[in-house]
Amino acid sequence: MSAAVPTVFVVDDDRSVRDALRRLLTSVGMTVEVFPTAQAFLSARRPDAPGCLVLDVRLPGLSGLDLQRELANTNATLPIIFLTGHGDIPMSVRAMKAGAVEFLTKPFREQDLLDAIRQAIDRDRIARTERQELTELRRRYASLTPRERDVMAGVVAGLLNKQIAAELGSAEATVKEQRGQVMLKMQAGSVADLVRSAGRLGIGPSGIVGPGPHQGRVDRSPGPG
Amino acid sequence: MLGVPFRPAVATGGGPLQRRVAQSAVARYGVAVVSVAVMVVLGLLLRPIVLAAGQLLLLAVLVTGWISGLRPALLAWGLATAAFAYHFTLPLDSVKVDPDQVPRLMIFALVAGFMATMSAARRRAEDLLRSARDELEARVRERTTELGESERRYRHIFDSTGVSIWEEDLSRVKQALDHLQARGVHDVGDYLAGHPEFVEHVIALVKIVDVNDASVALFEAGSKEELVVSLLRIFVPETRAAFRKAMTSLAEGRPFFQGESVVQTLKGQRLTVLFTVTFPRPPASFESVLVTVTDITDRKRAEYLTGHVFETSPDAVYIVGRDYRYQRVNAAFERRWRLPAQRIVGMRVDELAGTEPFEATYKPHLDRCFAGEEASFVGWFPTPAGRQYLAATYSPLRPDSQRVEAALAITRDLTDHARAAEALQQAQAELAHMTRVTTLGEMTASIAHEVNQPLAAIVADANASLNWLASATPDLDRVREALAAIVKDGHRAANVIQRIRQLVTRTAPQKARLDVNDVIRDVVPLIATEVRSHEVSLRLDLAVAVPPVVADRVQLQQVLINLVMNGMEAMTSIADRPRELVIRSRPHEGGQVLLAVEDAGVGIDPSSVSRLFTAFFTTKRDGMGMGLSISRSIIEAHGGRLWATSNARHGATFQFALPALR
Repeated sequence: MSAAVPTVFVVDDDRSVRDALRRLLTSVGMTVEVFPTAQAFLSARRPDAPGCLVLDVRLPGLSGLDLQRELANTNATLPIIFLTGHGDIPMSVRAMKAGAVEFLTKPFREQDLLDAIRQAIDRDRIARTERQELTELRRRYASLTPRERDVMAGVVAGLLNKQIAAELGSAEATVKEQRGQVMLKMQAGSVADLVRSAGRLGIGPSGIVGPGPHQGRVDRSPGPG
Repeated sequence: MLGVPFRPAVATGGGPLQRRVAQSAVARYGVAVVSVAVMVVLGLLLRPIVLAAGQLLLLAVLVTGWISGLRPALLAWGLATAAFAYHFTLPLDSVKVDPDQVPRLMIFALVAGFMATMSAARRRAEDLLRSARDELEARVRERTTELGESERRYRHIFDSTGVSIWEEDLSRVKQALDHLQARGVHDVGDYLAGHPEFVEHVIALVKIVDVNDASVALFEAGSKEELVVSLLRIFVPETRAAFRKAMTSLAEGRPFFQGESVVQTLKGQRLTVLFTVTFPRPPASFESVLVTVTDITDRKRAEYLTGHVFETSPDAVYIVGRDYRYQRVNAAFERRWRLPAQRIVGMRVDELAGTEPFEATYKPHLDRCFAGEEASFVGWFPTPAGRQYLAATYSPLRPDSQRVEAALAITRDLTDHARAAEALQQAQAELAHMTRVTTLGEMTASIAHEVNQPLAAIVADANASLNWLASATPDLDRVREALAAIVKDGHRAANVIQRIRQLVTRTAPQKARLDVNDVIRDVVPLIATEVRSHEVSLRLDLAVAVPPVVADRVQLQQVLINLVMNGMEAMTSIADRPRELVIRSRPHEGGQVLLAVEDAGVGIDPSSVSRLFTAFFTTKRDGMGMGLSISRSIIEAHGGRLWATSNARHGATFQFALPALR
């Protein structure tokens, strides 16, 4: 899981191109998996490792852009490098807007492709790390009792224990104890840590906010915490 | 015995009685016995009066000889001599004869024998004479009948024949001409030409004896009498020339004269006639000379028309004999070869038209014509006016016999048409090239893709190879694998470019023997990308064995690409069913090969069916409307047909049929 080898997925219906890409990427020590169609790629089991997708824009059946949309919809993020047999500007604009890492025209320069692949894998690695941290934070947050969540919201909002107690209508001592539980369960070393975690979970000072399922796509990495 | 009674009597017979007697030997010898018996009885009756009554027996011999001929007469002679010796020599009624009576008996016997032979000889001579006369009479009767028959036949022919016959009495004409010659005129024709008044005189000397019914009809007379009045009634000024020639022939003692002339009917209708005069042999009389007149007015008119058509036809018309020599040529032919007809007639075809065209084209077709076939051909031939595109037809001419005597040739100069057709073809080829380039322009993205695919693979494989070689321990197997792929993809790219070059290069159509399945397989890679981008599934349904066609590969590819592009575009708006395109090849009826492109698109709007193949008709926003028009003209230039039909369920089928090579 953690030390997995990055994998490059290639989807191209042209056998020559497909095989050549497999040979090229293998020659630079990459792990490659090739598919003739988008459907074949979607139905294959993917290893739990960082990776990227090298995708031909024009594919029979489901096209490259269709596949990009499909992946976005299923929240299965994978950085995509598009390949095209001819420069089609409107198509490349659409692809880039939809989050493609790179749009290369065949025949492409090896360095351009490898750079794009490395960049994409890095991006995927970061995204995967972030995704893992967020999952952990959500798990921790889920372990809080409702009262503890309320207390956390108060702490994140910068309230004192007394103020929180007044707002929740409980004793200050109880709040203090609950605040300790929150700090423990959320593995927050300081109030600043807790605030950062709350921010990443999308919890505002106004109260309870559930984890946003549609926030999976991460375009810009804020950097590791 | 049949027919014997009608034969003239033979020697032994005589008149009716004798003839009947002669029929039977018994009767003939009976005459002898009876006549002798009768005379014996008569003699015995008279014997008391005169003994010489015995001489009556001579009568019996005479009568027998007369009636029955020699042998019965000899019998009668024997019997009579015996009876004379018995009854009329002393002693009477005894076989004995007194010695003094012997001389009497001898004399009787001698006289009786003489009478027998004489009477029989006489009888025979008379019979011969009679039979000769009978025979003569019979012959005369026969000849008379024959003559009557002949006369009757002649009259019948004279009256009922369709030919006009004039019986004329030329005896006075003959006299006048003889007189003329006697006066020292040698050249009668010349004299007649110089003396029209004498000609008029001679015409008046002709006496018309009779004319037949055909003459009455031909000359529109009411009766024979109207016609026999005078020759002048049917003469027109031109007739005199022919009359003079006929008279000259007569004067020169020729057996007959035949001539052509113009005469008129009693109603003034002009006729062209052929007339024949048969002159009697000199000692015979000129009182009955027959002149036949044949109306050739229609024939002359037909001849004139035929000749007129022949001479004035804008097509060159000529007749070539079996010896390949020109027999007759018309004015158009003279103009073509810039030679007068007199020079051309008699020349061999190769002398005029050149040996090479003669051997290669004229002669084989002429030979076919001489064999009885009609032969046609077209081609470019050298003439003094330059190269001409000629279409010729040879028809066999059999004037009399079954054997073809000559060939009638009609040739039309189609040079202008051929030039126009060539120009049209040129224009079409240019237009086809233009649309091909346009089509390719529309396909540029696809073509770029098609070329860039193998190039991308090549570059990637080359990089991979470099990478493998750069490592400390180069993996040569992997390098080899990558290099093999490079070679393969290099060829692939070259092939694509080759195909595109074929489509773009402007070359004259080059027809060759082709398998349409190969054409389809060639086109598939060119359209593969378009097929993908239109999200169409392409299915090939090729017949296992289709006969080859003779066609230009590139043009067929162009047509096929056009049809495929049309089919795909017709399906762009289709979302509720598979966008399937089928390219099909099949052997077709009438020795043809069919290629069909079937789509499942929007189909053909019935209102536009008729305009589908016209130039500049398009339903596309940015189409030129040339594709189907060009495609159709390409297919038609190949002797084929291109058409469209609506499918039973969805879409349309565009198909073309080409004649298969046999």
